[in-house]
Amino acid sequence: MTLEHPTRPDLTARLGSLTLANPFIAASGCFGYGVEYANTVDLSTLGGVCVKGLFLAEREGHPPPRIVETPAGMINAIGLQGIGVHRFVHERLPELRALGATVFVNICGNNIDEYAEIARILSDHEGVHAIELNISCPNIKEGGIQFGCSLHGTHDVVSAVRKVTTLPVMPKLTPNVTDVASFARAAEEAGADAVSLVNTFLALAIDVETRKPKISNVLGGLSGPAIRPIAVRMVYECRKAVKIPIIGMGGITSISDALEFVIAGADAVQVGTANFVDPFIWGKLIDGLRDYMTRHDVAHFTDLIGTLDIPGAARKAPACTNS
Amino acid sequence: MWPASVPDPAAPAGLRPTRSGYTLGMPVDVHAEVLSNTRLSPDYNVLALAAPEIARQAKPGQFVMIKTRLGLEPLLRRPFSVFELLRGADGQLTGITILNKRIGTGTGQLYDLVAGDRVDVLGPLGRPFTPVAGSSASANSGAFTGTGSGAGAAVSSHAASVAPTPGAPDAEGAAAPAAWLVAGGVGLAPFATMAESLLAAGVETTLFYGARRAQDLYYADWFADRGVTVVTATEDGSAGARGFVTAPLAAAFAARTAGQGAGSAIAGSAIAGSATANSAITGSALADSAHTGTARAGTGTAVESGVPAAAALSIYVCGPTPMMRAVSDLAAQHGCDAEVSLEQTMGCGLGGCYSCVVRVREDGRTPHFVRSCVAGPIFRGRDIVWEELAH
Repeated sequence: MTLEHPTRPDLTARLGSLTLANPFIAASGCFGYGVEYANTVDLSTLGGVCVKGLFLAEREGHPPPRIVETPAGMINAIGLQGIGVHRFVHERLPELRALGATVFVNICGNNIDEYAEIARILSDHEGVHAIELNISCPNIKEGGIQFGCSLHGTHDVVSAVRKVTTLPVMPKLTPNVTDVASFARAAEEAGADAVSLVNTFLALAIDVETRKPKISNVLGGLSGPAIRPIAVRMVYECRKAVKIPIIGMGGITSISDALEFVIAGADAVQVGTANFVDPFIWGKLIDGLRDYMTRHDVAHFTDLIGTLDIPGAARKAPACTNS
Repeated sequence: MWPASVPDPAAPAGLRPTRSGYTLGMPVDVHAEVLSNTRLSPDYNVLALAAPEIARQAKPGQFVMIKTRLGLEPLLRRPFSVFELLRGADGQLTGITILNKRIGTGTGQLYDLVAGDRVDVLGPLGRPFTPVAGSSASANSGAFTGTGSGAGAAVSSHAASVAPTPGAPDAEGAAAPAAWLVAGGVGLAPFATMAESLLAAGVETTLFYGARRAQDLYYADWFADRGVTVVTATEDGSAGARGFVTAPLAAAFAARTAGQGAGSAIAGSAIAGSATANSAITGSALADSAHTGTARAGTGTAVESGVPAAAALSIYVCGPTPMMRAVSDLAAQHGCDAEVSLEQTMGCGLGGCYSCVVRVREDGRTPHFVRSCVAGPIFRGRDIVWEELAH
């Protein structure tokens, strides 16, 4: 502590009943089961660790190639390779607990009962702090996206899980719909504690020499800085539509990127693709937020949320045409 | 790849098996200055990078992830084997080199760098080569510089059928262990550090090195100067044997099986750069043959009848996928395992993204995907489901 800064900015983020050390959460699918990164980052210093999507059973995932780089981004179709919830709670969760991580578990079911079953199992184990419902993976045929692209499906999955757990429940919304905000509303009405957005954008990259798709699954999900402005817009729209907390994500590579989401209305953010490029990004984000808050004389992180200042035109209707 | 609760018998010395793979201390991200960029050809260059923190930790076979340029194009890092370890005048490790082949945007950027530029280098990463069983390397860690190890930790899985029990006393006059490094083109990259480690541990080391043309056989003298026997092959016959490197390798195996040592088999072979017509395997015996074709006393080595129980022979392979598969098969035919260094498309290099998977067979398990960044990049050749690999 220095005389110039007698009090350090309070980075604490809140998602309903859940208090996080800071707003930075490792995004599902981009951080393994967290333990992979124990040698590069102290997991207890993160706001949270959202582990790779889990089904009830183990899954093999898609054959490679599973990723391809695209301008300012990447397309992936991993296919939710995973160890299943049973192995997770026995083989990974104890280590995550020991490491002091705030654990978000991303889950995916083939049907609504399976979501509920996984949530029940997780609720029976110490060390799980929240459940993120994957209803938006674009890369697998069964489950997930069929709920995320239907307002009823979203509502039904959330309420089914809501009934079986007291853990915070947050569906992860897909951007591959016309109006994301309506899905956030459906989740809120079904009892979600928060919503995460956005998952990846359905995408296709083609090798023109061979005329073959560049990844084995043909279609995949686009992530990275390329999608960030769209994701920020979607957080902005959802902020106006719901009262529950929002976890924003999509192409965050710096504190400035993260702050865009926060100012647009996110209560916390997830960072995914950037962690691949820089596994040491977490300390930089935390330091960057502290610096920003100091420079802008913000005492509490929560004071920053949704502070978008639209000069003179806060009441303007959203522009939906190019007129 | 390995359950954490079960000590991994194949864990290379000094490694801590974890559920997610192997970790060797802490990988570091170094904003490394380019010390030099030596362009070997219009396609190949050797980039010297100031990264002592990585050099000090790196084990043969490990890799680094390099951000070839700041910014978003390309977005992801690229994996490269650690090629050489650099030392200052005082002998202290100062950095590493990488052997780069220009094939796309990222590798093109690395080709174009000049001294004084900087790139972010993350590492060391991945599972290294298994030290040679029965060598002083496996007993006292000499082969893998700076790593404390117990002999037990170095029990080699890759040479299970031929390796003596580590720690077992060598019979008087028993042959020294031998290692064959098999490289194709840019696949030479992991073998500079490996050769140095092997030689330091007293392992008789041979490099079988294939390329398209004589002028593509970079660094062959580097290996020869350090005491590695170099056997070359070129597709156009301009140096060494004409054709693929598997031909002289097959001849060496045949000679070995016939009771002659590898060292004898490759007598007269060409050192690259001094191409000779008689560089192919000659089959002539050398007096200092390392492999007598007799089983080592007290090793407990199980040998199929018909295959001479030579001293420990360890085989390491890096190159095009068909070549690695061929060498792995060849080794199996002669009762040996080979360790291969796979290069899959990687997103992160740390086990986070699950993009670099390769299907492996492990005893008692259905073939399944493992991440080549943490379960590899070094694998036992016979574990790989080769028919599923691209290229």
